[in-house]
Amino acid sequence: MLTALFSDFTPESKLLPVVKHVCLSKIQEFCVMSQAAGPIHVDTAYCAKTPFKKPLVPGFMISGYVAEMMENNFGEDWFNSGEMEISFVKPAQPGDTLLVEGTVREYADGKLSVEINVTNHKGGKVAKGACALTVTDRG
Amino acid sequence: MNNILKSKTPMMVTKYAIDSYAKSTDNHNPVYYDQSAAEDAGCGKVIAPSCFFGQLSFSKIILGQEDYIPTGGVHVKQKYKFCGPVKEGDRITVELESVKRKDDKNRDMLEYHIDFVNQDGVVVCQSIMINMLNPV
Repeated sequence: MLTALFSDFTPESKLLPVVKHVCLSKIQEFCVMSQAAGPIHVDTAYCAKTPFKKPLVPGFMISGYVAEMMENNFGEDWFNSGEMEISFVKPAQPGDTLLVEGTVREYADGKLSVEINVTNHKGGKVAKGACALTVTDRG
Repeated sequence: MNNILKSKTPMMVTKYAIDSYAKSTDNHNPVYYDQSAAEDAGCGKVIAPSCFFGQLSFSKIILGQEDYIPTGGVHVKQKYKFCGPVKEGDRITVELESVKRKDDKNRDMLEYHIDFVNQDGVVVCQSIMINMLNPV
Protein backbone atom coordinates (compact mmCIF):
# COMPACT_ATOMS: atom_id res chain seq x y z
CA MET A 1 0.00 0.00 0.00
CA LEU A 2 2.12 2.88 1.24
CA THR A 3 5.80 3.01 0.47
CA ALA A 4 8.21 2.44 3.35
CA LEU A 5 11.42 4.43 2.99
CA PHE A 6 13.39 2.80 5.79
CA SER A 7 15.01 -0.61 5.70
CA ASP A 8 18.10 -0.60 7.95
CA PHE A 9 16.95 -2.09 11.23
CA THR A 10 20.39 -2.15 12.83
CA PRO A 11 20.40 -0.64 16.33
CA GLU A 12 21.43 3.04 16.32
CA SER A 13 20.28 3.50 12.70
CA LYS A 14 18.61 6.88 12.18
CA LEU A 15 15.19 7.20 10.58
CA LEU A 16 14.54 9.83 7.94
CA PRO A 17 13.67 12.84 10.12
CA VAL A 18 10.91 15.40 9.85
CA VAL A 19 11.42 19.16 10.24
CA LYS A 20 8.52 21.50 11.00
CA HIS A 21 8.39 25.26 11.21
CA VAL A 22 5.62 26.28 13.60
CA CYS A 23 3.87 29.63 13.45
CA LEU A 24 0.81 31.02 15.22
CA SER A 25 -1.37 30.90 12.11
CA LYS A 26 -0.60 27.18 11.72
CA ILE A 27 -1.53 26.55 15.37
CA GLN A 28 -4.74 28.51 14.92
CA GLU A 29 -5.56 26.54 11.77
CA PHE A 30 -5.03 23.29 13.65
CA CYS A 31 -7.11 24.39 16.63
CA VAL A 32 -10.01 25.57 14.50
CA MET A 33 -9.94 22.31 12.59
CA SER A 34 -9.86 20.22 15.78
CA GLN A 35 -12.30 22.46 17.67
CA ALA A 36 -9.82 22.56 20.51
CA ALA A 37 -9.05 26.24 20.61
CA GLY A 38 -8.04 26.59 24.26
CA PRO A 39 -6.62 30.03 25.06
CA ILE A 40 -3.26 28.53 26.00
CA HIS A 41 -2.83 27.63 22.32
CA VAL A 42 -4.31 30.58 20.46
CA ASP A 43 -4.85 33.65 22.66
CA THR A 44 -1.70 35.77 22.67
CA ALA A 45 -3.10 38.29 25.18
CA TYR A 46 -4.01 35.50 27.60
CA CYS A 47 -0.65 33.79 27.18
CA ALA A 48 1.25 37.04 27.76
CA LYS A 49 -0.05 36.98 31.35
CA THR A 50 1.12 33.40 31.93
CA PRO A 51 4.62 32.08 32.66
CA PHE A 52 4.71 30.79 29.06
CA LYS A 53 4.40 34.34 27.60
CA LYS A 54 3.50 32.95 24.18
CA PRO A 55 0.97 30.32 22.98
CA LEU A 56 1.89 26.65 23.22
CA VAL A 57 1.95 24.28 20.27
CA PRO A 58 -0.76 21.66 20.95
CA GLY A 59 0.57 18.25 21.88
CA PHE A 60 -1.66 16.82 19.16
CA MET A 61 0.35 18.72 16.55
CA ILE A 62 3.65 17.37 17.87
CA SER A 63 2.39 13.80 18.05
CA GLY A 64 1.14 14.30 14.49
CA TYR A 65 4.67 15.25 13.43
CA VAL A 66 6.09 12.14 15.09
CA ALA A 67 3.48 9.99 13.42
CA GLU A 68 4.30 11.55 10.04
CA MET A 69 7.92 10.52 10.45
CA MET A 70 6.85 6.96 11.22
CA GLU A 71 4.43 6.94 8.27
CA ASN A 72 7.20 8.08 5.93
CA ASN A 73 9.66 5.51 7.18
CA PHE A 74 7.41 2.48 7.58
CA GLY A 75 4.33 3.01 5.41
CA GLU A 76 1.59 0.42 5.73
CA ASP A 77 3.24 -1.39 8.63
CA TRP A 78 2.94 1.74 10.74
CA PHE A 79 -0.76 2.14 10.01
CA ASN A 80 -1.46 -1.51 10.79
CA SER A 81 0.66 -2.08 13.88
CA GLY A 82 2.21 1.18 15.06
CA GLU A 83 2.36 2.07 18.72
CA MET A 84 3.53 5.43 20.00
CA GLU A 85 4.10 6.93 23.43
CA ILE A 86 5.12 10.58 23.60
CA SER A 87 5.84 12.71 26.66
CA PHE A 88 5.91 16.46 26.29
CA VAL A 89 8.95 17.74 28.13
CA LYS A 90 8.99 21.49 27.46
CA PRO A 91 6.67 23.79 25.54
CA ALA A 92 7.05 24.34 21.82
CA GLN A 93 5.93 27.80 20.74
CA PRO A 94 5.34 29.85 17.58
CA GLY A 95 8.61 30.59 15.86
CA ASP A 96 10.13 27.26 16.78
CA THR A 97 11.56 24.91 14.21
CA LEU A 98 11.10 21.35 15.39
CA LEU A 99 13.31 18.43 14.45
CA VAL A 100 11.69 15.02 14.88
CA GLU A 101 14.19 12.17 15.00
CA GLY A 102 14.00 8.43 15.48
CA THR A 103 16.74 5.97 16.36
CA VAL A 104 16.40 2.20 16.10
CA ARG A 105 16.80 0.61 19.51
CA GLU A 106 15.94 -3.04 18.90
CA TYR A 107 14.82 -5.35 16.12
CA ALA A 108 13.90 -8.94 16.82
CA ASP A 109 11.34 -11.36 15.39
CA GLY A 110 9.89 -8.68 13.15
CA LYS A 111 9.32 -6.29 16.05
CA LEU A 112 11.06 -2.95 15.78
CA SER A 113 11.41 -0.38 18.56
CA VAL A 114 12.46 3.20 17.95
CA GLU A 115 13.49 5.97 20.35
CA ILE A 116 11.89 9.32 19.57
CA ASN A 117 13.24 12.79 20.26
CA VAL A 118 11.78 16.15 19.29
CA THR A 119 14.06 19.15 19.70
CA ASN A 120 13.67 22.83 18.88
CA HIS A 121 16.05 24.97 16.85
CA LYS A 122 17.92 25.91 20.03
CA GLY A 123 18.61 22.29 20.78
CA GLY A 124 16.11 22.08 23.61
CA LYS A 125 14.19 18.85 24.01
CA VAL A 126 10.47 19.39 23.45
CA ALA A 127 9.21 15.80 23.52
CA LYS A 128 10.55 12.30 23.86
CA GLY A 129 9.17 8.83 23.66
CA ALA A 130 9.17 5.56 21.83
CA CYS A 131 7.48 3.90 18.90
CA ALA A 132 7.12 0.24 18.03
CA LEU A 133 5.71 -1.71 15.12
CA THR A 134 5.72 -5.06 13.41
CA VAL A 135 7.69 -5.04 10.16
CA THR A 136 6.23 -7.34 7.50
CA ASP A 137 8.09 -9.03 4.69
CA ARG A 138 8.63 -6.44 2.00
CA GLY A 139 9.72 -8.92 -0.62
CA MET B 1 -15.13 8.81 39.68
CA ASN B 2 -14.75 7.66 36.13
CA ASN B 3 -16.64 9.50 33.43
CA ILE B 4 -17.70 7.35 30.49
CA LEU B 5 -18.78 8.88 27.21
CA LYS B 6 -19.84 7.37 23.91
CA SER B 7 -20.50 8.99 20.57
CA LYS B 8 -24.18 9.51 20.00
CA THR B 9 -23.72 9.32 16.26
CA PRO B 10 -20.77 8.17 14.15
CA MET B 11 -18.50 10.76 12.63
CA MET B 12 -18.20 10.44 8.87
CA VAL B 13 -14.56 10.73 7.86
CA THR B 14 -14.78 13.15 4.97
CA LYS B 15 -12.16 14.05 2.41
CA TYR B 16 -12.42 17.61 3.73
CA ALA B 17 -11.68 16.54 7.33
CA ILE B 18 -8.65 14.52 6.25
CA ASP B 19 -7.41 17.30 4.00
CA SER B 20 -7.83 19.88 6.78
CA TYR B 21 -5.90 17.77 9.25
CA ALA B 22 -3.09 17.01 6.80
CA LYS B 23 -2.72 20.64 5.78
CA SER B 24 -2.76 21.94 9.34
CA THR B 25 0.11 19.61 10.24
CA ASP B 26 1.99 20.36 7.00
CA ASN B 27 1.78 16.73 5.96
CA HIS B 28 1.99 16.78 2.19
CA ASN B 29 1.84 13.09 1.28
CA PRO B 30 -0.67 13.06 -1.60
CA VAL B 31 -2.36 9.87 -0.37
CA TYR B 32 -4.06 12.12 2.18
CA TYR B 33 -5.74 14.38 -0.35
CA ASP B 34 -5.36 13.06 -3.90
CA GLN B 35 -7.68 10.23 -4.93
CA SER B 36 -5.49 9.12 -7.83
CA ALA B 37 -2.38 9.07 -5.61
CA ALA B 38 -4.28 7.00 -3.06
CA GLU B 39 -5.30 4.56 -5.78
CA ASP B 40 -1.73 4.35 -7.10
CA ALA B 41 -0.54 3.55 -3.58
CA GLY B 42 -3.10 0.76 -3.33
CA CYS B 43 -5.19 2.48 -0.68
CA GLY B 44 -8.32 2.58 -2.80
CA LYS B 45 -9.53 5.77 -1.23
CA VAL B 46 -7.90 8.76 0.38
CA ILE B 47 -6.68 7.71 3.83
CA ALA B 48 -6.18 9.75 6.99
CA PRO B 49 -2.80 10.35 8.64
CA SER B 50 -2.45 8.01 11.60
CA CYS B 51 -2.71 10.72 14.25
CA PHE B 52 -5.96 11.96 12.73
CA PHE B 53 -7.35 10.03 15.72
CA GLY B 54 -5.84 12.56 18.08
CA GLN B 55 -7.87 15.26 16.44
CA LEU B 56 -10.96 13.07 16.58
CA SER B 57 -10.52 12.48 20.28
CA PHE B 58 -10.77 16.17 20.92
CA SER B 59 -13.63 16.80 18.58
CA LYS B 60 -16.74 18.13 20.24
CA ILE B 61 -18.73 16.91 17.26
CA ILE B 62 -17.93 13.26 17.79
CA LEU B 63 -18.80 13.23 21.46
CA GLY B 64 -21.47 15.89 21.34
CA GLN B 65 -20.30 17.25 24.67
CA GLU B 66 -18.70 20.62 25.05
CA ASP B 67 -16.62 20.26 28.16
CA TYR B 68 -15.52 16.68 28.77
CA ILE B 69 -12.00 18.08 28.87
CA PRO B 70 -11.85 21.45 30.67
CA THR B 71 -10.43 24.29 28.62
CA GLY B 72 -6.95 25.45 29.58
CA GLY B 73 -5.20 22.15 30.10
CA VAL B 74 -2.21 20.82 28.25
CA HIS B 75 -1.26 17.27 27.37
CA VAL B 76 1.76 15.84 29.11
CA LYS B 77 1.60 12.38 27.54
CA GLN B 78 -0.13 10.67 24.64
CA LYS B 79 -0.18 6.99 23.70
CA TYR B 80 -1.59 5.46 20.54
CA LYS B 81 -2.03 1.97 19.19
CA PHE B 82 -2.97 1.91 15.52
CA CYS B 83 -4.80 -1.10 14.12
CA GLY B 84 -5.37 -0.10 10.50
CA PRO B 85 -5.80 2.92 8.25
CA VAL B 86 -8.96 5.00 8.28
CA LYS B 87 -10.34 5.95 4.88
CA GLU B 88 -12.62 8.55 3.45
CA GLY B 89 -16.18 7.44 4.05
CA ASP B 90 -15.48 5.47 7.23
CA ARG B 91 -17.80 6.13 10.13
CA ILE B 92 -16.03 6.34 13.46
CA THR B 93 -17.51 6.21 16.92
CA VAL B 94 -15.63 6.93 20.10
CA GLU B 95 -15.82 5.31 23.50
CA LEU B 96 -14.03 7.37 26.12
CA GLU B 97 -13.42 6.80 29.81
CA SER B 98 -11.80 9.56 31.83
CA VAL B 99 -10.67 9.85 35.43
CA LYS B 100 -9.21 12.74 37.40
CA ARG B 101 -6.18 12.07 39.57
CA LYS B 102 -3.11 13.72 41.06
CA ASP B 103 0.38 13.16 39.69
CA ASP B 104 3.48 12.64 41.82
CA LYS B 105 3.81 16.44 42.18
CA ASN B 106 0.19 16.73 43.38
CA ARG B 107 -0.92 18.39 40.16
CA ASP B 108 -4.45 17.82 38.84
CA MET B 109 -4.49 15.47 35.87
CA LEU B 110 -7.21 14.08 33.65
CA GLU B 111 -6.41 10.69 32.15
CA TYR B 112 -8.66 9.43 29.41
CA HIS B 113 -8.72 6.17 27.50
CA ILE B 114 -10.30 6.17 24.07
CA ASP B 115 -11.34 3.43 21.67
CA PHE B 116 -12.04 4.44 18.09
CA VAL B 117 -14.39 1.99 16.40
CA ASN B 118 -15.27 1.87 12.72
CA GLN B 119 -18.56 1.07 11.03
CA ASP B 120 -17.78 -2.66 11.11
CA GLY B 121 -17.30 -2.65 14.87
CA VAL B 122 -13.53 -2.96 14.55
CA VAL B 123 -11.35 -1.01 16.97
CA VAL B 124 -9.03 0.90 14.62
CA CYS B 125 -7.13 2.86 17.26
CA GLN B 126 -6.77 2.94 21.01
CA SER B 127 -5.27 5.87 22.82
CA ILE B 128 -4.48 7.10 26.31
CA MET B 129 -4.10 10.82 26.95
CA ILE B 130 -2.91 12.54 30.10
CA ASN B 131 -3.92 16.18 30.40
CA MET B 132 -2.61 18.59 33.04
CA LEU B 133 -5.65 20.60 34.00
CA ASN B 134 -4.11 23.80 35.38
CA PRO B 135 -0.69 24.37 33.82
CA VAL B 136 -0.70 28.12 34.44
